[in-house]
Amino acid sequence: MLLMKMREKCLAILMALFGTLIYQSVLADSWQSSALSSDLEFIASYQGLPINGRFNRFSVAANTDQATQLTQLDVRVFISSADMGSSEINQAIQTTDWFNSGDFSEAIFTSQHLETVSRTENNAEYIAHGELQLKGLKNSIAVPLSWKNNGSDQVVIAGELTLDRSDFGIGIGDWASGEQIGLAVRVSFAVQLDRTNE
Amino acid sequence: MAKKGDLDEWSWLSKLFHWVTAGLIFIQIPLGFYAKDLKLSPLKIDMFIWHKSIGMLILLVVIMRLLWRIRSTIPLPIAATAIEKALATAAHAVLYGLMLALPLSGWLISSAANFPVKLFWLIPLPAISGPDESVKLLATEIHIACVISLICILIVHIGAALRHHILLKDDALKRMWF
Ligand code: HEM
Ligand code: HEM
Repeated sequence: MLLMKMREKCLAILMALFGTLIYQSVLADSWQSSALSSDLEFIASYQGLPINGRFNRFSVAANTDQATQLTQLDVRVFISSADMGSSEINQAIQTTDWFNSGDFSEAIFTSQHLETVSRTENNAEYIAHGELQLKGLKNSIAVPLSWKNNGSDQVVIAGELTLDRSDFGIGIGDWASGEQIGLAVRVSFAVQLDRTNE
Repeated sequence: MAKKGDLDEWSWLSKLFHWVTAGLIFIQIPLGFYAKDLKLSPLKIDMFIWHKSIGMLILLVVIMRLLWRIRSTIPLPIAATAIEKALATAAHAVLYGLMLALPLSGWLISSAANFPVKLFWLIPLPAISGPDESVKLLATEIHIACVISLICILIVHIGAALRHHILLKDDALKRMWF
């Protein structure tokens, strides 16, 4: 009798666990950026004047839990797609002194620690804490971002942050000083994510 | 247009304008070649900031010079024949044209190449074109064609001045000097 009870209990617990797992896998979501309606831009400075640039190829993947709380963010940027509106500058920034895309073709940012700043039904503000790997160097950064529902299967995440190019060895040697080409680089993004549940 | 008068020499301001532009152009041409041949480095960028600054200064001086020329009285040409006179007038007109076309085409290169610049590290130069590769290439060709024309005409111009001074022994050079 006692044995029976134990077994039933175990079964009940197992079923409950399994149930939550199924429930979670149904309700937890993954999201993927849509290349057409996403922008990743940066503003460098030269003699204190802004020069704009953008990455034409990058991808963002995100996960949310059953409460559509952001739980994971993965960003990959294809460095060779950097475009600063000039063929001379575009060539220059791919060289070893700058991005060295020959050796480091991708920048990767991953965050599993998404701090919620505020949240309403359709909008949320987060700070994504994570590591940015760029030109082979890793640095912890905090990326403030807003999350806006555009419909049940579509959201837009957007945000801005400032990076210091010297933290990633971008612009070394003669370029290391920020006198001509500033050290601070403003990065901004607005990315459309679509729900991609299998 | 300028009145042509029976003057012995150019006005003081005309002389100043002539020699200031001449001095700036003699710095600007070698600077342009030098800066262009440097490999990309902060030095190259600094040299181009100088090139663009001096070039825009030339534009400003030439505009003031032309305005002054229209309002002032200038001496009659010294020329033995009508053809010589026409050639001198044409050469001077082309020199003025090039002194305008060079900075303007340079400004267009700089703008279309999406390269902002603060002239003399002080004054931001506004862009006269958005970033555009084909505009940049065209403007560069115009700039270089103007450079070559300028060098050729200057050889003739300086040669003519020396011819007047040394061979013809007239006052052409003296009346432009102080
Ligand atoms: C060593 C160099 C130079 C010498 C010896 C020289 C000599 C002269 C002389 C003697 C005149 C007066 C002609 C006259 O009285 O009819 C003159 C006029 C002129 N020069 Fe030069 N010059 C020199 C360089 C330059 C340069 C670099 C430029 C500009 C790119 C230039 C542009 C002009 C122009 C436009 C005039 C006509 C002035 C007018 O009609 O308003 N010269 N030059
Ligand atoms: C009277 C004025 C000017 C003169 C005589 C002049 C002369 C020259 C020369 C000799 C060169 C090198 C030739 C070459 O490219 O093969 C050059 C290149 C250049 N100049 Fe100027 N320049 C003038 C004004 C300007 C101005 C005002 C700017 C910009 C605001 C400018 C921008 C440039 C640029 C960007 C190049 C490099 C072009 C290239 O990539 O080939 N220039 N200039």
